[in-house]
Amino acid sequence: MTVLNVEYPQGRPFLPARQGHYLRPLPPGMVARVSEGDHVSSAQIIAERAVGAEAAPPSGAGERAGILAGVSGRVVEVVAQRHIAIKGVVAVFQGAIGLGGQSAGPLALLPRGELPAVVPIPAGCVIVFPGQLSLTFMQRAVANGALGVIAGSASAREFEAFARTDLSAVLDELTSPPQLLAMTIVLTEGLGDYPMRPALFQMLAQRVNTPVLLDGTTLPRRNRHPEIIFPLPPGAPPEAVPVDSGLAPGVMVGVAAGDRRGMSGVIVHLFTRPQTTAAGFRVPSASVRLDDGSTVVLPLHVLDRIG
Amino acid sequence: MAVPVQRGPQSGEETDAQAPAVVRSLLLVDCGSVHTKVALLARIDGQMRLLARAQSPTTLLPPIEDLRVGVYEAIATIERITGRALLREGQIITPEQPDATGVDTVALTANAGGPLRILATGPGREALTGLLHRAIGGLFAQVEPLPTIRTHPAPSAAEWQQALAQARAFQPHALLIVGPPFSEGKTPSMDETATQMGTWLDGLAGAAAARPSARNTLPVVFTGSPSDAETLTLTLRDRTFVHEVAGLSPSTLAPLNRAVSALYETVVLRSLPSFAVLRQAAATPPIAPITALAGMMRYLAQRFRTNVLGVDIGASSTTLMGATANGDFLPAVHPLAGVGPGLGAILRERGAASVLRWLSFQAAENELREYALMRMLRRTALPATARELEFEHAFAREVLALAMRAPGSRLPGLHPLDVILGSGGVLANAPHPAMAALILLDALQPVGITSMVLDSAQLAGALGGVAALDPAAAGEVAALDAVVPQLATVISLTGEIQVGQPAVRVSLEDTSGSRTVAEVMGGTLAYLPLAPGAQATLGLYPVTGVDAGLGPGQHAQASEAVEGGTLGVIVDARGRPLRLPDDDEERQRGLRAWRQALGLDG
Repeated sequence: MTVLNVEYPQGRPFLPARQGHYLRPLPPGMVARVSEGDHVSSAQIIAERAVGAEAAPPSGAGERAGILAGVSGRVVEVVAQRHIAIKGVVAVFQGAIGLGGQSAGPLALLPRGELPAVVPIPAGCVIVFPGQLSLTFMQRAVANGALGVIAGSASAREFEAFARTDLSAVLDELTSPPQLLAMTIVLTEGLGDYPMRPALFQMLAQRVNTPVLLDGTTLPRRNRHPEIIFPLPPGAPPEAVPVDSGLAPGVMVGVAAGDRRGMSGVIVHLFTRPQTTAAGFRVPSASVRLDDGSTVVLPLHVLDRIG
Repeated sequence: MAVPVQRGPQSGEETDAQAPAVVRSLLLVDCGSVHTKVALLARIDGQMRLLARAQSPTTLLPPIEDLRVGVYEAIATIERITGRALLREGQIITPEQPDATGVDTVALTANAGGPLRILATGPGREALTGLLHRAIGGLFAQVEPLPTIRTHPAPSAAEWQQALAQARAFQPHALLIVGPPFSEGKTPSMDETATQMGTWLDGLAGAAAARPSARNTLPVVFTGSPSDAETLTLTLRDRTFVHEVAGLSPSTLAPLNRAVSALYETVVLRSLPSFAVLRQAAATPPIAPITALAGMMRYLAQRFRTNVLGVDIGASSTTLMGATANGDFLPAVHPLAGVGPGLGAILRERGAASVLRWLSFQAAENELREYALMRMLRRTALPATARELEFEHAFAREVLALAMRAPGSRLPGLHPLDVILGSGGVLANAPHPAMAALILLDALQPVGITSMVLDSAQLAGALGGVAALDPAAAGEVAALDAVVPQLATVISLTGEIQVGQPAVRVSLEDTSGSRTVAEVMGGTLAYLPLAPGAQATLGLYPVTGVDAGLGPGQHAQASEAVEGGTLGVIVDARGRPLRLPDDDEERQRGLRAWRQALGLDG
């Protein structure tokens, strides 16, 4: 048996307070309504269609009437026809894969018990869909004017059919990402049939009607992943960087691969010796108590620190 | 045997660290696209041996854009394992100190920056394509033809923009102009080529300006006659530097090889964050692992007077390096396809159906695509389930097929294939050695008698870098630590094999006189135990029309004893080329039977 000596992971998909500059692109025809130095709130409109301007083609954001700030902070740069840069502190969750550019809008949950094929879809919102997203639902969401969808997963075939592109070529940067989609989609667990991890769904459900900023850009060759950006109140203190992404007993982890993908839990014990995985590799592993109460041994390479 | 040192004219810009006349210890540092591997070698009782190895993620991407972080993390692991201090104040301690801290030198290989992307053109390109591939086949370079554009009449603006966009999309690092090797004077075609190149350079410089990471002017390498070189240099003198090398001919491949190798270091490697710091500690110019593997294969072929094939399935690229006893070198490289982030290239170029046919269970194309895409998204991932592992190994078979057919590859003509050396994580880390053996057998389909060895320490490539410094030390580590024990001796049958009918009778008589006899049926794989290091006399009695490497129906008793291995002796009576049934159930049943024959799924 081979023992792999690999330290994982490099990153941390959930950051409770990240400070940064957030570029909000200005689609053609949109003019800034803010100036450098202005303080903006996440729900504030920072750009609107110029008087007399024709409707621009969708630009990744379905924000046709006006562009929301998406984050609270200070405007640090306004470049006409390019972007508005806002400096602020936000909470960030990195999804597995996304489509489209940026969209900002209030979170919305769908009524329980209704079929995705017929459930009413509110316009101008970011829809939270905790299960596997279907092609039909994606098409209905666009048609009904949704700004974005945060879902647990989607089948590769349907995701590619919706984007009308070969995702392998997009991930290899051989073709441009489909920025012209009229909606942003972020899959939190990735391709396949996996529900959104319960802790994340609860966090989203608690923020219904409050705005979030979605960015579907996925460029793994640059370690860039899609993001759900939650605005924090002005003055929120940022976390020190680099953020500790180490795995140790007591830390919360999400499962990113394997049969338990999408589940989360707490590390109970880190093994000093490598353990054998379901695939047969002997790798560094941990005992994890999952949210469903079970305790399992999982390889470190499938774990992401989320808390 | 001197191993060719891949050193170009530009590499002298930085002074190599001085290595002592006799190297007592050294660090091998291999910065791969996903993982960085470090190994500590030191002399024990006069022989160079592997003391420890470690790996950590390559830290080239945000949030840690510093190659040193991954390297130093792996070195720190080796320090913990061996108790030997190797780092002090953020530097590798060189040379080895009296208190046994540090190492005498460092050998550096890297492919973390991807291949050198070259756009090739010129009046001699089409005629000299074969020579061009031979000249640079052992280098980590991706060569694409410069888009063709007519000169008479001049192209329309739209045509030019389209060609330019195509060239820009390739994100070239350099232009290679191949001129006729023996032309005299200024041929009209070279004048035209030079003018066209000026236009191309201007157009591509515009593109570069829009990409901050790209260079504004592309370097140009010219291979051809001195007079053509002068024409080109005069025309382009205000735009870029032209590296002149001798015209391509079967006896003048080395100058172009050196020029492109030097460009790889100056253009690709030196742009890697913190590479310069690591470079200072190295005693020899850094090279790509595939170049190092090429050196290693040539060394082994010459030293053991045998035909060898080195196989390195990486996460983002795949390399096959063949070398023959009589000095032929047969490289085949796919710089963008591998079992990791390089899965996308396999899907696009081979198609999902080609991969799915290697699975012993039913799976839908969608499931395979989902696995591949998720694997591309999570660079350092490993298969998490047995099902995913079989996906991974199916991709490995197909990426080898892709590399075998790489432009310019002459590998299918390599016969006999005496030794196969398998390297790369997917083979070295296979949970069972039979998995690695099956991947190599299915993809490479050797015929006759072949020794199969596995680079379980994943050192073969990096040892090529050592070979440039100390060939004997590289050979010692390879023989004593890196590729032992042997995986198996394989006997592969060809000819008129009847499925379900006897194909060959095999006898193995060990040194104690104990005899094992097996009759192997057509269409099957068989395994005869023979422990690693044990020797036995092999007898082969194929039925009429079946060839065990000696001619159809020829019986043979091996004149030299064959050596055992982890998997003993494998008899492959499936025939060549290996044909998989079209019917899903029949094919999967066959694949399961072959796995079981080698001790899997049991």
